[in-house]
Amino acid sequence: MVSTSTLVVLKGLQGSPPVTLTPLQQLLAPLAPQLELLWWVLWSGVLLYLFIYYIVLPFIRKKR
Amino acid sequence: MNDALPSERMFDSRIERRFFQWYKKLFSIAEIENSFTLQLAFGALLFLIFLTFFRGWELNPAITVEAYLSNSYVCWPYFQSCGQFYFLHVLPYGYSQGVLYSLLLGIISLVAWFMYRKDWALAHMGLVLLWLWKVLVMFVLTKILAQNFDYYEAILLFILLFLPRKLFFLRLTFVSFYFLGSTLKFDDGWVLGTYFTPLQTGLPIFGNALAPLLTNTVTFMEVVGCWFLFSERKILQRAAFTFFVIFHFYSAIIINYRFPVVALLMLVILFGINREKAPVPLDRRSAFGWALLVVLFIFQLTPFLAHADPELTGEGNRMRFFMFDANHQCRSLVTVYGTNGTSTTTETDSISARNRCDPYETWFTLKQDCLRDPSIARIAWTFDHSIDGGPFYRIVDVPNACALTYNAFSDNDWIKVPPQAPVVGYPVENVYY
Repeated sequence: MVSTSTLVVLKGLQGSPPVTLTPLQQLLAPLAPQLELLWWVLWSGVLLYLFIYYIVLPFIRKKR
Repeated sequence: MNDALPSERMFDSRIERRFFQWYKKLFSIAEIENSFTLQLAFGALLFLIFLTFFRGWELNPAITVEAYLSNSYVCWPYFQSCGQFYFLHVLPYGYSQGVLYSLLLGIISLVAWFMYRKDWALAHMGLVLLWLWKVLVMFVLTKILAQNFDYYEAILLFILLFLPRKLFFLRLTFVSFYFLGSTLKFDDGWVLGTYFTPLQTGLPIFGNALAPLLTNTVTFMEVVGCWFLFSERKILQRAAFTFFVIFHFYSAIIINYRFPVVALLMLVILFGINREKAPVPLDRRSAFGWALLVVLFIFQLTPFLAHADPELTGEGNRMRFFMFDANHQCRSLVTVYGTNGTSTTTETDSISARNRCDPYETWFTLKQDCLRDPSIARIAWTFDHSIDGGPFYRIVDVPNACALTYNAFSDNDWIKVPPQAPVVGYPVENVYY
């Protein structure tokens, strides 16, 4: 829970409640670094698959 | 003779004919002549250029002499003297920018007429001029006019105008925009959905409770689903196409029309209404297209590798696609000390989630003040930045901003990241507008 004494209230945001996480976000928050890594792994895997399947292999076949 | 193209009637000498043959071969214009999809893309990109200029750039004083004189301009970090090249005036100070944009409107109209006459060489020449102006403004003359959709348009136009194998590379690059843009979503803002939940209005229509499910679905579609736009299995292709159509219409709720218009037009033209085949090219002529893609990947990934936290520090952030990079809030506190012993303090806040809060832009203005005003002894400056509802970090805290320099291509040691940047507070809910 955020202490209200440390809140930064910018002009135009007076009266706004402090930012809090939803229950689902609280559940996921400890796993966030692992989930971020998982996305990078998936992204790299997709890129590698596309590169090999659509560029490297056809290029090798063409050379033969 | 009445069926002759305007270029054939206007330029009918042997040398002129040979020039046109060379020009058409150099820029692979036959591909446009023979592809209805490319002709549609040509018209769509011309329309998008018109949208760029119409009430976006034509009235904007960002590159005028007055912007330079009043220090209300910002140059790119790699060309910090851009303001010295400004020569235009906008009303009420003058009408030279109006004259220029009137000429550009004339070129837009001519290109449309040449398209109607199917004279693709002349239409191409006109569109090259428009593209050159757009790129000159975006990447040379000012940092503040280029939005993500401008990047899309400039890159797609480059392919359509200059590269061979146009249709294939237009499609591949368009899908790569999703794929490259997804890299910005591999952080709390999208993994936890904290881009949207700190907003007073929350995630539109769906609300905040299931925000992480929705944001991760979008990320999945941008990493994996977008490639099914190429699928030969109709159901998969249509499913991916439908998802992105709905996604872009949904996004218009918060980001308004401009970006969705670019994305939807090109999505529908390249993957929706026409299924012209464009196989993967592996010949020498396709090397330029592949090289462009490699460059796009390098630009997108370099900020992750070269800078500690581009979203927080702004370093390198605009050298890549940066849409929905993070929900930003920031506060800048500037105290100007005069040579006569006086001081003036100014606080500037940013509450809109989409203002990137780049400390470079504040520093650039302060630096110009230092250079122009001899009565300034020094400028003390702090800059606090919160992203995705996280803590405010004091990323800049310097006694004299005048003494600083900004390096465009590496980290600037006066911009701190946690743990060197201390937490100075926590944010309240902000807004997107």
